[in-house]
Amino acid sequence: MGKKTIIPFGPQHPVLPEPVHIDLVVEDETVVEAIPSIGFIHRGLEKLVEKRDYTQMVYVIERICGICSFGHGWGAASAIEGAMNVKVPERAEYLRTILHELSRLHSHLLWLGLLADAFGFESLFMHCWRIRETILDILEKTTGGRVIFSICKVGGLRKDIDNETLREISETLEGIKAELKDITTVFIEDDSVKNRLCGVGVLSKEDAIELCAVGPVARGSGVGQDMRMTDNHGVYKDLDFEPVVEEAGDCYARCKVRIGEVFQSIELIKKAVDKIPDGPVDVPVKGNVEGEYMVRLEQPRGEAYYYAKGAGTKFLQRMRVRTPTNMNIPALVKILQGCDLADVPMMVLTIDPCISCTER
Amino acid sequence: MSYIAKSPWVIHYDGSSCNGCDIEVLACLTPMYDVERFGIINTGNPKHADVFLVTGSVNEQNKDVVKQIYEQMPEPKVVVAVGICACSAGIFKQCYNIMGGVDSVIPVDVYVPGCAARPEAIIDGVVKGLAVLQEKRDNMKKLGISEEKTEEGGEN
Amino acid sequence: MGAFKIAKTVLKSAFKKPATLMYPVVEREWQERTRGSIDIEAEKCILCGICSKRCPADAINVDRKGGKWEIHRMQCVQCGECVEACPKKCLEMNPKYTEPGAEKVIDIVDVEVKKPAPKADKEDGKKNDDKKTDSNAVEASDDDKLVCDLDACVYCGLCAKTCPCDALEVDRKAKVWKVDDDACVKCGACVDKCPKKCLSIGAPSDTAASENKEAEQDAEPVAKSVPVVDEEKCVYCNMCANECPSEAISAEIDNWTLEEEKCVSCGACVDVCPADALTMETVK
Repeated sequence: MGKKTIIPFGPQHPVLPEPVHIDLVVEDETVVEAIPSIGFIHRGLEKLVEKRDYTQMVYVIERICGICSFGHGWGAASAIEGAMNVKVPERAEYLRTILHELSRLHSHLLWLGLLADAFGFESLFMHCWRIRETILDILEKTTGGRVIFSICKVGGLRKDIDNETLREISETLEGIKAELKDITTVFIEDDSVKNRLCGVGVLSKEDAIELCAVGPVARGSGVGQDMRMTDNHGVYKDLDFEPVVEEAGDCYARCKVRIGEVFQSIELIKKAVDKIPDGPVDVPVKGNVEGEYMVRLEQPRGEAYYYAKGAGTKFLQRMRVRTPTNMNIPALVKILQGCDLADVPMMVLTIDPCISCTER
Repeated sequence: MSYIAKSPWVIHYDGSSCNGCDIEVLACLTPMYDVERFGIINTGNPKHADVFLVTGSVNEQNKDVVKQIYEQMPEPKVVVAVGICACSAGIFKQCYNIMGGVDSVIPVDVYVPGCAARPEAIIDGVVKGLAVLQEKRDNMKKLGISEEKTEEGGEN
Repeated sequence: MGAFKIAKTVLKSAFKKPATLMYPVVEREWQERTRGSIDIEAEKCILCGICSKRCPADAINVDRKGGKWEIHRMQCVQCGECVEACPKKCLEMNPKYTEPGAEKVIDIVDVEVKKPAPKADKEDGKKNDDKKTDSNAVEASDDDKLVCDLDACVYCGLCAKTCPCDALEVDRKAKVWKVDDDACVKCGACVDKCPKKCLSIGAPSDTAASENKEAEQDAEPVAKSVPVVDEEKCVYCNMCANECPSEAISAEIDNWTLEEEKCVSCGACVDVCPADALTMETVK
């Protein structure tokens, strides 16, 4: 039995852009236990409902996280629309779905790049982010921002995207598919990459269900759960959606799930562009919020839910957001047990942590 | 161009940011914006760094971390506050857990506005920071203070 | 299964043009919708303060007495709410971002709001027709309040719909027109929208009324919108005809007609139609 040492990981670490502190109890280079300590990003923005009215609150909730920003804006707007019984026009639903899938594309490409950087393959990181810039150009052309979009509002969208731009988007995505195929082949088939990913960080199906893992972490372990299969949001029921599931439960399986979702998103966007109807993109909304409503969305990292409650004034009474990384941290603690110390950065990245979502 | 006289190394820390400005800082390193043309490298060690890029505002838990990183950096050093949350706490100013922008714990040399700050704005901010760095370096030489880290090449 | 799978990408990028944008040597070309910073046209501003109220980051301050509009550049999140909320459309989203600097920039703009001439003044050479006696109008005090000439008002409700502060209450059946003076910011959006021109800020002066008429004659005709019926959906219930404040609609069986000259574009018919058969469309 070796000597136990405690090594602090974070909050400042070059591989992870976010501050999270994990105390690793290590015995001779093998991690025995991991004790996370979060709270560096907590801003307490849910309490701002007292000072910002419900239209301004959408901007605040959007800035919970910069990577999954569109999903937060959509969820907040949807929850308030539900509480006010406002029905959004169909074109707006299609456009929101298209923008959400674009957001998922950029988020997964970002993650693939960071993963490559974490196991030392820097040129792959550069190539992934270079391809991601094409998607950010599309987002900037349609919404006006690269990271924070500010396009969802209560009642629909603030700006319309005309059909010709949508067709251009479809063609651009078709054009980068070949490059994406080359890059993702490296993740899936290259021997040196598979050495780092296969068999590492295994999460069994029972553990995934017991620890309530969500998103690609659960789908990589065989749990076929995806909020896009429900009718709750967006127009996925018209687009023949099937979730991408892998059985192995290790880092390689989670990587394959996310790569599968990248190609699936491109297909979903193309189908949506073909089917989008014409019409207005917003409805006028006036009045106060009365009642409560809950919306569940599939963010790139998993299932997120948004709850809004109003009591008859223009200030909401409560806005609660539960984000996916919140549920994946117990899974992280489980897979860190028994891994090598050198693999820790990669394990932390494999659940796609978004600590600013967790702490709000 | 005078701002590429010496290649400054950068350390980046995220205070309580939403990650938007952080991914734009990382995007500066990628092929489209490529600050490595100017010799800038993102390092993880505060003792190697000249420029401290801070994103996000400061709350009770991370103010000590920001101060520690700042104190470990050797002179001359420059602090660039990226994004409006670092400049002045931005949209979260009235939150109970936020103390304010980064300048409530460490002195800031350049403010880069934007939500999220664009990579072009970050490059502009770093370039302005380099001019400040050069000034500080010249001041140190005038006062005869020896620099804490030895430099290769060039007269020192 | 394979080694060096990245070979194909590496070889391609060795022979292609580099993806680098060469900023700052090469200037960046902005997209049309990029949100960079806010610009103001000071001549159009009326210091109503709506932009300041709508800003989610509290970045705009409006000083009505001192005549200043200021924006904290280091607090603005470039969301564009102020641009949409401004009733005079004097704010614009500029794609270029604010330059980084060593200080926290606060841009202060001096704004001079032209007030209408007081009642006693009569300028030479101005037409003086249609002097309205305001015996029924709401009393105007020293502060300029919003007043309505209730003789001319048809209670169409367009002012209430346009008001960005929800300060107006109009009831067509009860013939009630009320303004909440605390909520009203005197932006004048209702004054512009009123089809009967019976609203004004401060007591309607002769010169103001005649200026309005002159402006109407000189201005280009604004495209009017009128209701158009979908005959498949219309059930000829007559609710639109009953609601119309100017009695411009006649909804007889298989014969729905509109007198365009009488229509004031208030949209009351569209709101009340139970079959969603009416839509407002612009006519030249």
